[in-house]
Amino acid sequence: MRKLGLYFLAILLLVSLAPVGNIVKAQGTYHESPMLTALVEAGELPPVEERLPANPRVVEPFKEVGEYGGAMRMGFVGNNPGWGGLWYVTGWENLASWAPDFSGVVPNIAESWEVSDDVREYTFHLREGMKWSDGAPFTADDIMFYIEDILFNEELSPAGPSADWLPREGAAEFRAEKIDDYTVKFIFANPYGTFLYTLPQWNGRHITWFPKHYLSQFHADYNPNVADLVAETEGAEDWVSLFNIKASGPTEDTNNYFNNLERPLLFPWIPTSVLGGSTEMNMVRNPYYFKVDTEGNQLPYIDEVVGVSYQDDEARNLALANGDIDYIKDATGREFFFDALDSGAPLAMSFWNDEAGNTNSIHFNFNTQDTVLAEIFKDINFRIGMSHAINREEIIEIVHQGQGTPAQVAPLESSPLYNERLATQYIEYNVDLANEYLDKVAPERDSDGYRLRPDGERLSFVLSVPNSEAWQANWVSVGELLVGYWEAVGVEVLLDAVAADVMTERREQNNYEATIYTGEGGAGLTPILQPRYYVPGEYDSLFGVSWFYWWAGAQDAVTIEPPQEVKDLRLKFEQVGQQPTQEAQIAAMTEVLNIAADNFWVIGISRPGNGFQPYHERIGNFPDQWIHGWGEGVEKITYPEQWYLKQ
Amino acid sequence: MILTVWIITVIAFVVIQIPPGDYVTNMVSEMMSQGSDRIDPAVTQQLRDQYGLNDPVYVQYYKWMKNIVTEGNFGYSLTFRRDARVLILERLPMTFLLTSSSVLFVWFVSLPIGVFSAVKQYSIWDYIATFIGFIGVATPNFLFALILMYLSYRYGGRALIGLFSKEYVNAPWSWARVADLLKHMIIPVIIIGTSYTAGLIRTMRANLLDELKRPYVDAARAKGLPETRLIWKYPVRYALNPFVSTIGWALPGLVAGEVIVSIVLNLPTSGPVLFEALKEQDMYVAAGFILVLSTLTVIGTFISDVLLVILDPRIRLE
Repeated sequence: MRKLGLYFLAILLLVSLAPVGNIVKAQGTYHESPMLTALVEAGELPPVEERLPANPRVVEPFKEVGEYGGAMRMGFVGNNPGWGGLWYVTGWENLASWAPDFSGVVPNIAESWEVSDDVREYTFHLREGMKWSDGAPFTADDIMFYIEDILFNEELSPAGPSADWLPREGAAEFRAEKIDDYTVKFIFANPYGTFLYTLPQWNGRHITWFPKHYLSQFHADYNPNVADLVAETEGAEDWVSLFNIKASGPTEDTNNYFNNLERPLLFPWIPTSVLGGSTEMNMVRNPYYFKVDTEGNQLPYIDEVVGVSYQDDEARNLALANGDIDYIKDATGREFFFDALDSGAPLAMSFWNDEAGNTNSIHFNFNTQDTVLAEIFKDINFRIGMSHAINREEIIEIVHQGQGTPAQVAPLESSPLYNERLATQYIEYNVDLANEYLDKVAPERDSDGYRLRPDGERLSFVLSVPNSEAWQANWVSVGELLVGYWEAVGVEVLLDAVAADVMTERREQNNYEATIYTGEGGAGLTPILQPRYYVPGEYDSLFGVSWFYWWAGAQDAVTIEPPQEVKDLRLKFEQVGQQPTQEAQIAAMTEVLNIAADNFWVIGISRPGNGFQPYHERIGNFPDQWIHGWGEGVEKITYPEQWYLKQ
Repeated sequence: MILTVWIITVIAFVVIQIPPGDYVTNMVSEMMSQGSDRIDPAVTQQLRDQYGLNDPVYVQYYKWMKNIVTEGNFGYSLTFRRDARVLILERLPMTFLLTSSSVLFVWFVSLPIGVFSAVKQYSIWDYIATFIGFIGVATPNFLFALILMYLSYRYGGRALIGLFSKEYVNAPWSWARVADLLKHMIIPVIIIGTSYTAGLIRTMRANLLDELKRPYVDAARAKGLPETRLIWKYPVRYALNPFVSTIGWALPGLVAGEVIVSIVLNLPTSGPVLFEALKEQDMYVAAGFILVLSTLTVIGTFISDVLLVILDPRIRLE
C-alpha cells in the first residue's frame, strides 16, 4: 500500500478569505452536449448561451477535458438514493465550494463576496442570468424568500430562526438585505469569522435551496388557497407539512427531493424517476447548469445518472467488480476489491486521505444514570488509566491492517492547530502505569481481581457500540479488544453491539454508560468546524450528550444542565468563530485545544490510514488522491460534474 | 376468514411498534451514519408531529384501518414518501410471479420423483433422489444463493443478480424483456423451490407406499392393468390429497423464503421492501404488506380446501 503524504494539507486554508477560484472567462462561444443540441434544434430549449449565466463558474478538469455523453450507474444500499450516495455526486451545490485540494473556499453559486472588517457583514454577488433547472431565473429573491418567509416564518420555524449555518447566539437579530437582483447582504448580530467555511459544507445547503417561483404556491403567505393543495397531497396535514414535503426543507430531510420530480434544482443532474417498483431510478443532466470547463464546454460531461438500489453490500460489491455499475460510496471489503483488481476486473483504484484526527473516540458518559459510575468516569485519573491499558499497536495490526500510528483524538501534524500534548499524551501501552492511575480511583479489588467502586459494587460498565459499518468503521472489533485490555487492569466491561437507531434512541434517553464513535477534526481547520471531541455541547460529544440537548432546548430528549466550567468552555469555543482573522481563530482555538488536553474528554486509538475508493475504469477525471470527509463534501470535493465516461 | 385477517393486522401493527424508537429515530440514525453532525432536536420533534408519530398506537391503528376500509388507502410510506398502496402494487406482481413459479417448480420436480422413489423403493435411484432432496432442505437459502452467484460469476463470466439485465430494468415490456426475465428467474426459482421439494418428495413417497400395499392395487394388477396406468390412475390420485392441502402452508413459507433470497440476489419483489420497512419502522408499508400477504395466504388455504373437495369427493360428505 502506498503511503500518501499529507503535505498539501499543511498550507490549508491559510490564504483563503479572499476568493481565489478560476474566474477565467472562457473565450469564444460555449459548447454543449449533443443531447442538448438536439433539443435546441427541436426548439425545446433555448441555446446554450442563453441558458448559462453571463459569467459561468469555470471548473478546471482534474486531468483532461472530457467527452460528453453516457449514463453513469451508481450503486447504493437501501431505499434512499440521496443518502445512499447520489447526494454527494449529483447534488450539493452551495454558495461557495472547497478548492479541490481543500486549500480554501472558492466561489460557486456566488460569483464573489465581500466581508466587512468586523466580520459581521457579508455581501454576496450572484451570477447574472443564472437559472433553475426549469429555466426560471435564480436571483436574490430566492435567498430572501428563504430568509424572510422560511427562516423567519413562525409556522415553518416554530422554535425561532434556526439553521445549521446561523449561530444560536443572536440568531433572532440576524438580517439579510437585498441590494439588487444579484446582490444580497447578510448581517449577523455578532462577529462571525468562520461563516465562509460553513458555506461549502452541508450546513450551508439551505441558503440556495428554495426556488421561490415554485414554492410560493405552497406557502400560506403567498397562496390564500393553499388548503386545497393540502387536501389533495398525500401525507400533508397542513400547509407547513405540505411545504416541507414539496420543498424538502426546512425541517424535512433535504434528500427527500429525490421523491419530488417537479422541484427545480441548481444541481448538475436532476431526478427523472423515483425509486419504487424497480430497483433503479434515473437522473438526467440539468440543461441550465451554471458551470463550464476551461474550453467553454457546459458541464456536466455525463448525460445521465442511474441510481441502482442494492439490499446489501456484497451484491453491490459484486456488481461493481462485474462492471455492472460505475461507482459506489463507502466501499467495504478492501481485500475483495484488491483481489478483483488483480484478477482483471474493470476497476480503477483511488486513495483518499482521511480528514479525521483518529480512527475512534472512546466516550465515558459523564451523565450516566448510575451516579457512582458517573463520578468515576468524571475522574481524569480513571480515563488516563484506561488509556494506558490499551494496546494500540495490536489494534492497528488486527483491526486496521497495520495502517496508522497510535494517537489520541487530535488535529493532525499537518494542521496549523496541531497540539502535541493532545495528540500524544497517555498513549503508551503500560499496564503498571494504568494500574497506578486506576488505583487512585478504585484501589480495592474483589476475589475475582476486579476493582471495587466506592459503594462496594464491582467496577463494571456496559460499552454500547453501534454495529453499523458506515465509513469502513470497525467499532465492534475494537470494542472486543478493549474488553480484554481493561479486564487485565481489573475493570469489567460488557460489550453491547446495537443497531444504529437503537443507539440514537439511547442518546436521546441518556441511556448508555460508554460508547465508541468516530474521530473527526484532524485535517486543517476541521477541528474548528467539527469540534465535537474537543468541546462539550456538540451532537456527537458523547461524553455528555445530555448537555448538548440542554443547549439545543430539546423536548424529546433527556436534558442536563452543564456545570459552570463546561458552560464557560463552550463560550470560549464560540468566541473562536467570532474572530475576524484566520490567525486570531487559530490562536483562540489553540487555547480551547489546550483546555481539551487538560480535560482529556475522549480516548483515541490511532491516526487513520489511507482509505480506498474503487470505481469503474471508464470514469475519467477521478482524482488519484483526495481528502475525504463529511466536512469536505465527501465526493463533492472531487467535482463529479467534471467526471466523464470514456467511450 | 375476515376475523383471522383482522387479528393478523392488529398483531402486525402492534409488533412493528414494539422496538424502541420510531421512523424519525431511524432517519436521524441514517443521517448520522452519513456524517451529519447537527440534527436540531426541534426538527425531530416537528417531524414526529408531521408524521403523526406522537399519537398512541391505537389511534394510529384506528386511522390506518379506517382509511383502508373507507377509502382503500393504505397510508403513506415514510421511506418512499409515497402512497403505500402504489408501492405494494408495484412490488406484488413480481413476488407472485416468483412465488407461483416456485410452487410449480416444486410440484413439477417433487411429484414424479416422489412417485418414482415409492415405486422403486430402496433402489439406488431412490437413495439418490432422497439424498439430493435432503441437501436441498439442509442448505440455507442464502448460502445456496451465494454459491450459485459465485458459480455464475466464476464460470458464466458474470454474477446473475436481479431479475433483469441492466438494459431491461426500466424498459417497457417486450418479448426480449420477458426472455431476459425468464433467464434471471431460473436461479431464484431453483433456490426457493429446492427447500420445499424434499418435503414434498417424502410426503408423496410415504403416501404412495401406503397405497401401493392396499389390496385394490393387487386386484387391479391381477386383472392385467398396465403398471404405469395402474399407478397413475389410482394410488397416486389418493396420495395427492396431502399434496394439495399443502398449498395453504406452502404459500407463506415460500413468501418468507423469498425475502432472504431476494435480498441476496437483489430482486425487486416485496420481500426486501417489507424487510427494510420493518427495519426502518416504516409502519404503514410493513403493515400493508403483511395485511395483503396474510389475506392472500388465507385465500390460498381456502383454494386448497376447494381443490381438495374436487379431488376427493369423500371429503364433501364428511
